[in-house]
Amino acid sequence: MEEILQDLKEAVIAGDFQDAVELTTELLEENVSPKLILDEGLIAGMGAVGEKFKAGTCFVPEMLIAARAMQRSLDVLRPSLVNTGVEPLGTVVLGTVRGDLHDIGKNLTSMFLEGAGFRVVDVGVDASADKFIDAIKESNAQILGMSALLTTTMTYTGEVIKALEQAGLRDKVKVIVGGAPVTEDWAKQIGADAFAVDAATGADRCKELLMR
Amino acid sequence: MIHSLAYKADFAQTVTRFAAWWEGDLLDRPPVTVRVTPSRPYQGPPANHATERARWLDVEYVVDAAIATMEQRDYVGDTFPIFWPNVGPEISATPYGCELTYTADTSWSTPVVQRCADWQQILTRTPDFTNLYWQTVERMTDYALARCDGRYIVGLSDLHGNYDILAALRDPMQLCIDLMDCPALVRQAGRHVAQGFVAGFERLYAKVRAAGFGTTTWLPFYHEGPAYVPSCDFWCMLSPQMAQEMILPDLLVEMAPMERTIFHLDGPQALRHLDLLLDLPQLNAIQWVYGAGRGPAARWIAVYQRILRAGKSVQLLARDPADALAVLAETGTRGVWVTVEEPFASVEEAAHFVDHDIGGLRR
Repeated sequence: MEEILQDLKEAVIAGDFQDAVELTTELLEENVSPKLILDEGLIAGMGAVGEKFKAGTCFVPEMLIAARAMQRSLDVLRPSLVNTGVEPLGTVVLGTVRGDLHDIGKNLTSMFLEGAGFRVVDVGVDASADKFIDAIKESNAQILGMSALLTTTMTYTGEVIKALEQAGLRDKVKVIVGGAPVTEDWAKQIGADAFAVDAATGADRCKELLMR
Repeated sequence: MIHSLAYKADFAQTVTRFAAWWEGDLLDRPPVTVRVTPSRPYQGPPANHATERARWLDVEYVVDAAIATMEQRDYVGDTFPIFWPNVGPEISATPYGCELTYTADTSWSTPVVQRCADWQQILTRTPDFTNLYWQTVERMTDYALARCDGRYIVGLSDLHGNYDILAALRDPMQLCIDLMDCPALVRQAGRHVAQGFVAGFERLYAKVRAAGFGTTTWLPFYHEGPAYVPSCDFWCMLSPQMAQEMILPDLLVEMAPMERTIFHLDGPQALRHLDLLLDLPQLNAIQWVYGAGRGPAARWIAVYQRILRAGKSVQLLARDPADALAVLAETGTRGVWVTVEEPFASVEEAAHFVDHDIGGLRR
């Protein structure tokens, strides 16, 4: 069993979704705990990919196919996770802010969050403050993640935080921001709780936010 | 050669300064481009279009408004009046069937490649320059040339190339996945659209050449022959190996018809490909764009020095005069084109910076 779990992890790292799905199915058929498959196969695989990305030895195409392998396996695994009562780490509402149609960074972050065990509510691109707030209320999310790729749209992240305050949600939800023009200083300036320089770091920061 | 423009009497000196800069050389001072806050009111046509799309594609309005804006401005240093037709940089993807959508200040394309196998259809397609968007750019060029009367230079449109065209045709994330799933097909498509880029460039260049102009564009350089700004924003997501094997050959196809080239290197993640560029004998210069929130230019002196040491010229995008001078103190002025992004309050202030602060620097 340990060998198959290791193979699953390697299949995710290599982005081989066919192998990953087959191995996940095989592990389930052998009555391996879904939580163990998730933790030691999928999460471990995506974690390794994230570390390689941060180290500059893995790039976006390789990350995307790894995430695809993870997601296809997760599709197979999810019913068993639900049946055995495995809870996600937490819920993150994620979106690209109003006026901005860029989604690759947001999508990668979503994949890393799922790969780290989070439930992700993706509100898509061009998301208004109302859309974020509605999604937070509906999902009881603990974290809001906002992405902006343009200097012209980056300012809207601050508007959303103000809207959260007005809606009485600011104390209930942690806010993390990211995207090409977004910096640590900007995050502090608008009162966000965290900033992530890339998608893999975003998942790490969200785990830290849950601890606070 | 054009010696003078109605809005820029000393244009000939600017041409010679740029000619030296392209060669990594220096005349009296480096080329300096600056903006001055306009002191005259805008007296052009009002924008009263029913939709943003109608405004973007209204040939006469766009050109007449641009002329009115040029009339408002003062041209200090090596800044000169330019009209370049712009319906969005994804114009390069329209000859392969992409439709464009417009908002007030940007445009984007609708992908036409839905799965890996669809690349095959792109490969069989001869670029169609009769499409609405491309024809609009050509009509804008013609109309701007007809209305020019020695006042300004007509430049080339902003044209994305190679894998940025593929990203418009497919969607950047899906293109990344295709690079892993069907690399051979993508590689063929990259070559196909790079050849299409050249065909498009040559169509537009032929028009300005026939009117006696050299080349300029969204990046306000000047060269008397064919010149352009090769780029690939998509490659910031790729490994150096993938960039070298897949992107570089197509960049070289696109650069082949140019006498002068300045590469638009956008963002810290693209810096990993700088060495690839510095090794290209065909490349004259690099525009290093560090990006919003990552300035000022003085933070990137090591990058400017690396470019200059490799024998390439560079465009220095300085936040303000002090930022420009801080970089020049370390790099020297040879091979540097200085651009100050913060507008000057008056012609006098701008002229003092160009003539005194920059002109007074040791060569």
